Amino acid sequence: MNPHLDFDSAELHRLFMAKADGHISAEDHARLSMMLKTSAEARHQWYAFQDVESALFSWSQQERQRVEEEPALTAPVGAAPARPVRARLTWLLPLAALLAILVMVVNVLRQPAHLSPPKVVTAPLLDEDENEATTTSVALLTRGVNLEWVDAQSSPALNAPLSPGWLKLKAGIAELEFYQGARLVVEGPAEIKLVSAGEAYCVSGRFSAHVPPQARGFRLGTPNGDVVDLGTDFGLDLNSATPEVHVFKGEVELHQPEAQVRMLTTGEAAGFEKSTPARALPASDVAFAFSRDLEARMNESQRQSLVRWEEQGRQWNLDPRLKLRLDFQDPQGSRSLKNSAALGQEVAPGTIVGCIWTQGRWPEKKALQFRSVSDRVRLSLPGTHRQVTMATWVQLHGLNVRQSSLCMSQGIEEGHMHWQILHDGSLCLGVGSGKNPNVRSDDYITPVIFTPERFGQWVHLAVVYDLAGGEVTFYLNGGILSKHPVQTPTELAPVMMELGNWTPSPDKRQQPVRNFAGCMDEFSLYTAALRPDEIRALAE
Amino acid sequence: MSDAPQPAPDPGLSEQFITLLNGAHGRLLGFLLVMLGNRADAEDVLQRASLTLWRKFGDFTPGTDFFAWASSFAFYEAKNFQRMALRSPLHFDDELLQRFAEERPADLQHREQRLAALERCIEEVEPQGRDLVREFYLKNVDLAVLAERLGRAPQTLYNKLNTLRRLLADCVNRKTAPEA
Repeated sequence: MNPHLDFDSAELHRLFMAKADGHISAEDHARLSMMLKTSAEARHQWYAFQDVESALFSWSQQERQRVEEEPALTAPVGAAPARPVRARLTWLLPLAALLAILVMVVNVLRQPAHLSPPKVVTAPLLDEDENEATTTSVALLTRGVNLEWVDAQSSPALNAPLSPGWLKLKAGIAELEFYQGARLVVEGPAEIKLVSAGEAYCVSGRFSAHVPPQARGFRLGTPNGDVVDLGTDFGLDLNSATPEVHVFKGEVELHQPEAQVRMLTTGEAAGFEKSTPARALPASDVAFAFSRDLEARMNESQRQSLVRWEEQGRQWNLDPRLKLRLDFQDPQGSRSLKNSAALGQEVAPGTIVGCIWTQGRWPEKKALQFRSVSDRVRLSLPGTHRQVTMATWVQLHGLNVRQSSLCMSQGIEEGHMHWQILHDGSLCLGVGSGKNPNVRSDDYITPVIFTPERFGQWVHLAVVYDLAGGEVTFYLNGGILSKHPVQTPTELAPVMMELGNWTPSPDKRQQPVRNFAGCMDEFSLYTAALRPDEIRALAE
Repeated sequence: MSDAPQPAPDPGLSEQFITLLNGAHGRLLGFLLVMLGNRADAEDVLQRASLTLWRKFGDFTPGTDFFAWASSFAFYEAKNFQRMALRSPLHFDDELLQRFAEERPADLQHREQRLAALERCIEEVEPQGRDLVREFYLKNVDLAVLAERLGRAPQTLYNKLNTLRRLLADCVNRKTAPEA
């Protein structure tokens, strides 16, 4: 019973539910209106009630997804077919059409607050299950050497899925794999527009295409006409004085406006100009050597990245604020992770439980893969700290559990910290505040970052907890993701921690599952608040 | 196809609009829910309001509070909706709506905390109860039908569900209350 309420709160709640469920009687509605008008506390309760209703709806949606993924674990109450919630919203179709256009220009839809269902712009998906994850991507950036993009801000990451739209390459070599199977190696400077899983349009650049049988019909448009591939290897050079097509194997069709379709076969080439019909040339692969060099140059570039990282690592290790740095370059099969921090004597090496050694960001870089519910790395950090910075490189493979631990204190006590990925793909830092037995978690939650398209990519994550500045700041790939004012000023005392997992309390028999599904190849902890430029340097 | 199906609006503008609308979606829905009382109506109104917002987006000053700007349109859309709606003859009067419109934006700062708290609270519910909650919210299933399937009286089931909702709401209030 609430002391501020001059009526029965159970009764109030009953009216809330009747109103929300749409079967409230006229008398009850009048009573509810009166209570809400006269009591600020009743209104406060009503607001909270509606937020809880929203949360229950979102939870149910996520739960359905989870249950469908693990049908054996939980049997649903019944098996009635779901009422298509959106079916009655047919008048929305004009909006759907509008939003469909808008959607095409947005690559990454940032989700609203935590728990909100991933569906603000669902209008184009009216025919589909509203909970189903969807993708607009048509190709993948599989490899790249010395890539320089015209717009550095929107440069795609390696293994990043690519949605239809322009790619503008200043320099370097990029390899694209289209979902229908065609592989296109591009040498910059190049401007290419991805159209679909089987079509691209290019204005400039050198292209070497490999089109396996299942990708037959792959179309490369140019301002002078289209090249349609019938299963082959061919080169297209738009950077020479006159555009040329060279066929190394198989057949292609040249489609030019106001001209007959021309067929080129193995060993043939053609000049490809706007005004004149295609001229016959002998095929030559000289201009397309870049595509053969890709492998060697890729290896060299990765080796250089590793060397640079090792050099930087030696500098980072000397930072007096650094208490723990796990570089994951321990001997093969090692069951512990050495702490490389020069002044981190009081922090013991991490103990590996389960996990599999695997490859990290580069071929010579090691990483631990976390897969099963038992996989974890045990750590401990003594002392209490007003400032803490944690930074890590991870590759997330999926989000099958409610919360996936990055680094979490054992149990929930005052000063404990729980850095985790929530099931919707947002990051959360939970800080235990208040005294036992009334410890609660102050949760700081970022916008959603892990959409399925980010699974499999290496990302750099960092969080800075700063009592002096009164702020919690999250970083993604070196850039600020979100800032939050400190809720309850609490000094952090992480004590026992786990990477990739959580033990709520060592003696509890039923442990909730919080395991991380993915790889980690670096983890650092500073007992200080690093500046944005310092975080950026860690992520480079 | 090699071009957008229709002359698209300025791509920069629409991208900006979608980003802002996405960012405010949860709060706008929360804003409308307290006025309309149920999710279906709130979603309908928000969809209608989105169309208006897009038409008027040219008037929005970048850098100012998008939610504040958008919620005023949502508010009028909600009033309109109630006037037109035949399916819910019972609705809050304009005086109460006005009160909500004044108070709720500030209250929405607690929304995220409440959502996070619910996640922890629901873990304390036994599996059968969780299944009931999920079925109810997910499918908006008719409780009478559900009760029949389970061989129980609809009222019993509804009572059980509502007890759970009450417990969960109390749990969330406890977890989000300022330090006692």
